[in-house]
Amino acid sequence: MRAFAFRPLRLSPALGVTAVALLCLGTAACNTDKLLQVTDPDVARPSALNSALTLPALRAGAVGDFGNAFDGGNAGVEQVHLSGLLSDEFINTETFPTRIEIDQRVQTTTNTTLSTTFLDINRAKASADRAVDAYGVYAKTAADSVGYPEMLALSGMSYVIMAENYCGAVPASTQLPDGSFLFGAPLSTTQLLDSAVSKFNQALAVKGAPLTTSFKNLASIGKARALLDQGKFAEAAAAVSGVPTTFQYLYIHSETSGRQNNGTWALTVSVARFGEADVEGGNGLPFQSEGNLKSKLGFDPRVADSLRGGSSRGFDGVTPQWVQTKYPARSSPSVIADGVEARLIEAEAALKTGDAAGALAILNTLRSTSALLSLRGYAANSLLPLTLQATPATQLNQLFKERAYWLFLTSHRLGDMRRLIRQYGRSAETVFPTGAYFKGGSYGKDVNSPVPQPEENNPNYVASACKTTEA
Amino acid sequence: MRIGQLRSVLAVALAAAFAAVPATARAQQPSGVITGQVVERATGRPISDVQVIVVGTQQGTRTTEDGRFRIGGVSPGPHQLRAIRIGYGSMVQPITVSTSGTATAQFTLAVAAVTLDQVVTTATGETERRREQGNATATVRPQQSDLAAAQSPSQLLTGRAPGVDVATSGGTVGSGSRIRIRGANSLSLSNEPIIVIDGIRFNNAVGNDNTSGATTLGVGGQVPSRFNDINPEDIERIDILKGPAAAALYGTAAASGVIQVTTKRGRNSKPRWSGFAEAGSIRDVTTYPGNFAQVGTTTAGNRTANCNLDSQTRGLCTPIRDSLVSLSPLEQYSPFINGQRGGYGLNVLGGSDAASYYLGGNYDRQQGVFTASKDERLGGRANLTAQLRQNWNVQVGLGYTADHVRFPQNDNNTLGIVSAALLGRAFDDSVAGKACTPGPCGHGYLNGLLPRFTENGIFTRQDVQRFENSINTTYTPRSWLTATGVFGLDFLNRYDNELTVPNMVPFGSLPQGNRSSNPYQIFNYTANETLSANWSPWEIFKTTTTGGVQFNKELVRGTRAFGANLLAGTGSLSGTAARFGVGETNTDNKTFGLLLREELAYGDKIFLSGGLRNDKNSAFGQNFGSIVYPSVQASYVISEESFFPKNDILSSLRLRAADGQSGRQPNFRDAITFFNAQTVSVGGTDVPGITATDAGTGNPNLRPERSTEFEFGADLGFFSNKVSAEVTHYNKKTSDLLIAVPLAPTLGLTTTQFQNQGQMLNRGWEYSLTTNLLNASAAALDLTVTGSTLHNEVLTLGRLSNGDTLRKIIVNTQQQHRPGYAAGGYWQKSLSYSDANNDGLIARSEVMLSDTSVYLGNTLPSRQFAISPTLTLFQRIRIAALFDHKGGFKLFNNTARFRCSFGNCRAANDPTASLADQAAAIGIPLGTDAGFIENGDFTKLRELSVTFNAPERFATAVSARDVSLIIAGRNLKTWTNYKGFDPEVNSSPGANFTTQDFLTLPPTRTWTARINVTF
Repeated sequence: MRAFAFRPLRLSPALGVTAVALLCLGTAACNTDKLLQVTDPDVARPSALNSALTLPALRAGAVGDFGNAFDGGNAGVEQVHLSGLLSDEFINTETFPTRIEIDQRVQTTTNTTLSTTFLDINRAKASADRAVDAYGVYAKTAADSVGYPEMLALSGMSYVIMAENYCGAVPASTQLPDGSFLFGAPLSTTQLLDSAVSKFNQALAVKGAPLTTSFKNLASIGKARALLDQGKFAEAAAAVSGVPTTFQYLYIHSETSGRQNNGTWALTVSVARFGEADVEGGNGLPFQSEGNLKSKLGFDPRVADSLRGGSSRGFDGVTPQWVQTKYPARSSPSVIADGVEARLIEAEAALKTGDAAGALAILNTLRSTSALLSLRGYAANSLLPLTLQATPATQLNQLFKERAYWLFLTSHRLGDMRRLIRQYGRSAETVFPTGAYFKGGSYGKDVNSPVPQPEENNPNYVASACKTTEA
Repeated sequence: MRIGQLRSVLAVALAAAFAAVPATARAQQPSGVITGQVVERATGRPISDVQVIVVGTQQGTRTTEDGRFRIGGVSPGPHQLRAIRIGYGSMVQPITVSTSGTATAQFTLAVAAVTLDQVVTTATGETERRREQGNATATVRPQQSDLAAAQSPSQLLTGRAPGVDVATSGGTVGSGSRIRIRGANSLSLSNEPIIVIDGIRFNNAVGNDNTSGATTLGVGGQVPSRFNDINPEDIERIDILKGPAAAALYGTAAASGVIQVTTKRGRNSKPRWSGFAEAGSIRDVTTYPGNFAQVGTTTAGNRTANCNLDSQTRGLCTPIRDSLVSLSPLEQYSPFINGQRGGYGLNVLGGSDAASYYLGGNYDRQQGVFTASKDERLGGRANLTAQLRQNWNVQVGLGYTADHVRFPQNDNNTLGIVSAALLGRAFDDSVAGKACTPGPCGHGYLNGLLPRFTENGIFTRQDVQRFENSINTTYTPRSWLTATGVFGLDFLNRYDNELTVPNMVPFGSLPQGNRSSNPYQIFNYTANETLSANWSPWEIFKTTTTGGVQFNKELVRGTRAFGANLLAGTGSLSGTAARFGVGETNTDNKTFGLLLREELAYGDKIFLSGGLRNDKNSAFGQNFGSIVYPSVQASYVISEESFFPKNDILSSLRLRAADGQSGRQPNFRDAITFFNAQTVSVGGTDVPGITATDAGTGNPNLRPERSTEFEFGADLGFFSNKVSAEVTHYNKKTSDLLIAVPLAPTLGLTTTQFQNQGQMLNRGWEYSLTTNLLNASAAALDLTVTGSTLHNEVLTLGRLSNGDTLRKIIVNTQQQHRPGYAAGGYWQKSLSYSDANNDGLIARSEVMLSDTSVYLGNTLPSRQFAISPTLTLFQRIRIAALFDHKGGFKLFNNTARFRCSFGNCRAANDPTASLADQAAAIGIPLGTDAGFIENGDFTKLRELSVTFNAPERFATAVSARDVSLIIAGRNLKTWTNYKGFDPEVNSSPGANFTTQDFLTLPPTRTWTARINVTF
């Protein structure tokens, strides 16, 4: 019974005061929302990008994202390297299976290297489009609009590269201002190129000072490239008629940050991951042997290379490593578009009309233009004149070899090899590397790169539309 | 100065330092004193470190080595006095203190394994006995022999608490471990437990990450662990709250459990000095395989050094007889040295009725098995406890740790020492004394990267200065009302830095030399206040109501700077001339919580409690408000009921159950959309630009993950409580998982966006058995067995943005999260083989793969047990061992896989290799790594120690009270079928799920001799 003797609850002022104090601290008297506010100075919120003052940063971001997607510096595979591996420019001299897949032409949609490569070129497009949209809203004066046509041109160039390097089923998606997503349906190669031409036309339609000569030339070459890819040779030639041969639109690599480094330099000179190929898979061009100073075939400075010092092996410790020397330093600039490409387009248009002599004249003019050779750092007379080839086939070979050498490691070669199939009726087996693969197994049949598996998160994407064996 | 003089000087200094507090306090306190002694029932031996407390007050102390205690300032009147110590049954006895009088109490404790009356600290900062809790709490009290055997706090936990998996990552000194308590709760957020030291939050970052990691510099895989910043010598005990059922009142962040560390405290006694000195060895004991190559002739008639079995079976070459070549650079040109460890420390504790103190300091140094592997540590602590008034107690803790660690290059690292050796060549270029051109000889190391290049050329260091300060105060204005406050700051000053000496490392741009300098300051603030009122309407019934607020803030401030082209002879950024890079991190995470708890106790046998915790956090999505975590607990010591049958076998039984929720807040920027800055050259000038690379696609509706756990179990005592057994079942389900839902890359944003949409399950059993098999003056034998099981399963991953079910999340090439299977499980195409032509070689055509990937196993052990026998002879010699078993898991042997892909493993070259190994190697080019995902089960003799307690006369001869010598070994023997070097290695200890053996230094073997002296 004693255990159940009732004891009244004892309240005291102290309890009441303390309880109230605790409650106040936790609720009304204490503004917890204010207490929990934090600052975040390290990043930019979208809400901060709301005036003309931010346009230069958006423009620079688009340039940087494009440069990164083109041949970015963090030793990842970007478009130049994708094109180089899948075509006959590079061989793989390292160990990463996902990158060997590309070289062997047996890519899978789950290849994580390819996922990043594809994401980066889409980021470049989105970044340029984001800048374009911002220019549309905030640029009120001509001074504000500096760079506007450049953004349109880079967006167009992103479409061109995706058309040339991917399987012809690339959606164009975007994030809307409210944060929601607008998913695109797969676009065919032709549709991608149409989109590109549209972007270039918008750039060329910009009035006044913002359309500088440089941006006009960039857009013109981009448009011509897209038209060439569509088989519109005459229109392409017309588009570049006013572009000077010595014009260059460069992506300026820098040592300032790793991302700004020349990625081709990083993957070759620095760590010996990819080597310059030599008649890869039987059908490839003799880049390495003709670029070798000791070449018996005649040294060609456009594809110059040298044997790696030390072990002379690649990262895999087995494969001989021939290092390209076009990009000898981490800050070596990359050509996105130049007057040489303009002339090559004109030469192809001429050849297409049967004017082989005219085409050859253009090619030889390029090889002898001292200002161009000087610009490229080649010795005078280092490129001897070409001779007229006897047949249309060999004339085409000559032209495409000139394109391959002039445009070496600039993400053109894969598109050209596909065009040989698509526009000139050649078979993949006579254009791409074939037969036994030097690291085991055989070359596959891929002639372009697949849209990676993560795109299947796009409800409008149709994976079956992506055919990597179709040019 | 002699030891005696030193003691006197320091004792005087201490007395002076604390004189003010006791003087003030004494003047205000009642003068009643309780004194007494605690002895063991069977032997009459005095028992030290017994906690003697005046029930219902904050007053208490611990017994000295002679079992005596003194509690001053006790109010006159009747009291209950409780004596508690692990290994003995508790005892309560009434005592009456007269005004200005002294009361005496004698306790005679019987040896018992049951621990119902041991106290643990709760989330509210108060202490309560185990019998009052509905959940199982594991407690680890490091012994001197444990300190000798273990090199870090995480090693102290290994194998000592059921349900707690401490995964050692390798043998690099200073590297951390991965700790999982009752499995993994989250796919995207940290699964590490939170650490609380003396009531305040302690940064427990893991991994290599600029924002929230334990370091910003990578060496290939191994990373330090912030948990290991705790000084083991200062640890009194570690209580582990294993999940939401126990840790609900800790609120957001406690879903993966809470490790509560209580540091040593003073006691009411004369100063007691203790010191130790230790020295030992660290050895690499692994036998490393050779690099193989088979010389042959190609079909074209050319010589090839790559005529491996695959090429042979494909007809690409013919091996030349007796030309199988092998070289093991790690064995023949060993980079290993004999590592050493050593240290010493001194502490003193003591005090008076009104104040007590613990002061300690120690130094520890470890030289790993590479010259570039070092860890040097200095620790100090001052804990002061003041009884300012009879009803007001304040504890102030000041902890300091300085750690200087240097990591070698290893693991997933081109420059790694183990990596370069195991991926190297089979041919020794220095054979027959030939000069190598160009020199120096590579001795088979990949790319000629000799270990000395990186060991002398790359200095990757982390320097840590850590201050951990806490104030715990308890105020009892009325006998029924208690207010507690816990305030503290854990300040971590971390300096990650790396120096690459010019012209030392012949790889890439490294000959230019470079420097990274990344200072970080991390502040962890804790402010907790609770108010607790109890009421006993009847003597047998007690109710306690507790309310409180808790605030935690973690602030990270860091800068990163890099420069290259280093001027020879310099070692700082000032000497660099190119490629400058900078970065800065400023993150802030705040949690504000309210808690309310109601406890009901009936007859000190039945305990019911319920709690609510309401949290707001700065990382929640802007559209989300706060979250409430409820909890309930019940505990019933049914064996103390009169109706419970008394028998000689089952002497005590407690039934318990607990159910609770806890959470884990999103990371700092998971909920927000943001862009990063990048540097771009425009018109020849570097300017800032906006980029979505490494940025965030936010979700304003993001909320914390919520884990709900139910556990039930029983604590049993057998044979007069000489055998204690605990069994617990837990079932933990985490919902609202933060799933990184993949985004279509054509959006040009980030790869993923977080959504709350997944669920995960962890369930299993935990058990422990503690028994004193023999207790005689000549010999005593104690045995502890702990074990646990774990079933981890992803229940759902939710849906994709296109509405389809999200069927998997790729962790890496070998690991995936898939519903119905363990998180981070291994998935590959399965592999089978048959030597159809009986030629002893496996050809590609003789290997069959499944069409799709299949589940090959989980990475977390699904069962563990540990056995710890302790034999004490003549009360002088104590022999203790720890056998540790982990089973039911797989480990990806990427070391072997990568070697085979390089073509230098035995299985790829040697026709006498097993068919299974050949098939595994052939599987690589066919598209599967299944042959390298191996059973990781193992049993280890983890620790063995022998303690010699010197005879009293010997101790007296050196003016000491006690002297002991401990010889302790760690990682002494492994039983396993795993084919790699060690089934415990992990090249990604900082990663949430990525688990692989990838060119990692295996655990080393250590032997340590430690002398302890007490004055």
